[in-house]
Amino acid sequence: MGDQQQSHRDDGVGNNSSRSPLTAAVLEKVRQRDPQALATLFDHHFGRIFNLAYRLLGERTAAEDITQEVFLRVHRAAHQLDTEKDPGPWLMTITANLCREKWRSREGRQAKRTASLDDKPELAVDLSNGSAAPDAEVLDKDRDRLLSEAIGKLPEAMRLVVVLHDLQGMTHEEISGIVGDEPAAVRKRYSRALLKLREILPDGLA
Amino acid sequence: MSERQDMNLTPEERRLQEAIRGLGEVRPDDAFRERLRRKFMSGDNIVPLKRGGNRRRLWAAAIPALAAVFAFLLLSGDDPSWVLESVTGTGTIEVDGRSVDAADFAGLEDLVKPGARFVVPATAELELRLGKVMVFGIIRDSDVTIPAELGGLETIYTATVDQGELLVKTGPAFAGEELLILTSEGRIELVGTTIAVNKGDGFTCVCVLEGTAKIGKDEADLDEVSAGYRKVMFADGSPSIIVDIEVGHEKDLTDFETRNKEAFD
Repeated sequence: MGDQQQSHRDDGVGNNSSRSPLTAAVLEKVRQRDPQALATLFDHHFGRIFNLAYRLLGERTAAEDITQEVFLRVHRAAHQLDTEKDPGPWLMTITANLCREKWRSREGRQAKRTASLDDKPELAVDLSNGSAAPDAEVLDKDRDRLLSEAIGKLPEAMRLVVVLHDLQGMTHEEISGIVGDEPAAVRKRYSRALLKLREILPDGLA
Repeated sequence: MSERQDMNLTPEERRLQEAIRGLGEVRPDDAFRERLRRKFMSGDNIVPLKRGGNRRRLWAAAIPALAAVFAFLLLSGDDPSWVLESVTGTGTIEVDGRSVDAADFAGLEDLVKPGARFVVPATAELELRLGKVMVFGIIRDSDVTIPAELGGLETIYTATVDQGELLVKTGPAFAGEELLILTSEGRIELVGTTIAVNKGDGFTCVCVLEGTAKIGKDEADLDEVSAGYRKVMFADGSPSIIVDIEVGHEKDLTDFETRNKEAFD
């Protein structure tokens, strides 16, 4: 099931939709930074990296920044590539780690922003008035958007697990290799994330 | 892989899981993808400028790719050019050492070219646009050199602020490119954002209105500065500081952003 999901998800840009792993010969050429091999690696993983970053950060510009940084790092470290292993998990790990760094830098910013809002209660009131509960019609129209937003509201550790598991097609074991926790802990976190999503989503959608 | 089936889910959780898995993919911007792909193939373009160790090897790998890029550029022939968008105020503006009255729009327009240096008096401001790539606002008593054309050894847009204030807004065609802004106190690396670079006497202050920018005295000092903040670097060796965006610069930037909201449409 996971493989099937990957097979239609990984191109992301309408190219190279087959997900057969890159051969050791191609990866060896990537190690040597052969331009054509690099292009093959890029085509194979670009869409998946961009989509992971987008789903984790919720912003196109930020996702592009992260995607560029991932490929920069891959180029720098290409000579260290293990030709016997699928580089996919390595790339997902780099992407996830960069997104987590981004979250950390945002946390400081948001803390400051919150402090400044506290100084301006009238502005805080204005902002809260803007978040009215969506009606049924909106729910019907914007189901995907609401779901995406709800995923974006999950605590970061939960969001990471949901995105990797359900949108990137990874098993809990594969995810544990990325987040550095035991598979059982990842599974539990995923379960809690679904519960949390049900709390966040409007009743009709949950 | 069978683990993905999550056997212990309730029917409600199962429906929610299916809904999540049914979310569509987000399509990346095609231009961004192509630029990044070319850069990744050639390698040199995405390695920051001062990282010299692998350059010879990277160039060796880059030559075939660069040849392909040159062939593409020759065939496409539609590279954007810098154009003068607006001039406000009075006084004399110097472009590459030639003095032109701020009121002489056509005279100034003729002198605009990639890599040109603009010395703007305290009584005038001007705005320049490079296609859908970026807009520069050069304001109030400033000395700014705009980026040269990319190609050959120029793989990254590079601008210099010797004095005064430069406002920058990047556009949709900038995706995948990099802009490096140099001052005597440091460097600013952008991959898409709206910022102001204020070069004063003995300091450089960089305010970020949108996105993020890497700012530092050198590569070791680079910090990723987010929207709403500024980094100030000093010539006397004092440590750089990151603080809230300066109110006056935020207003300049917001006005600049508003003026150029549809610049790339």
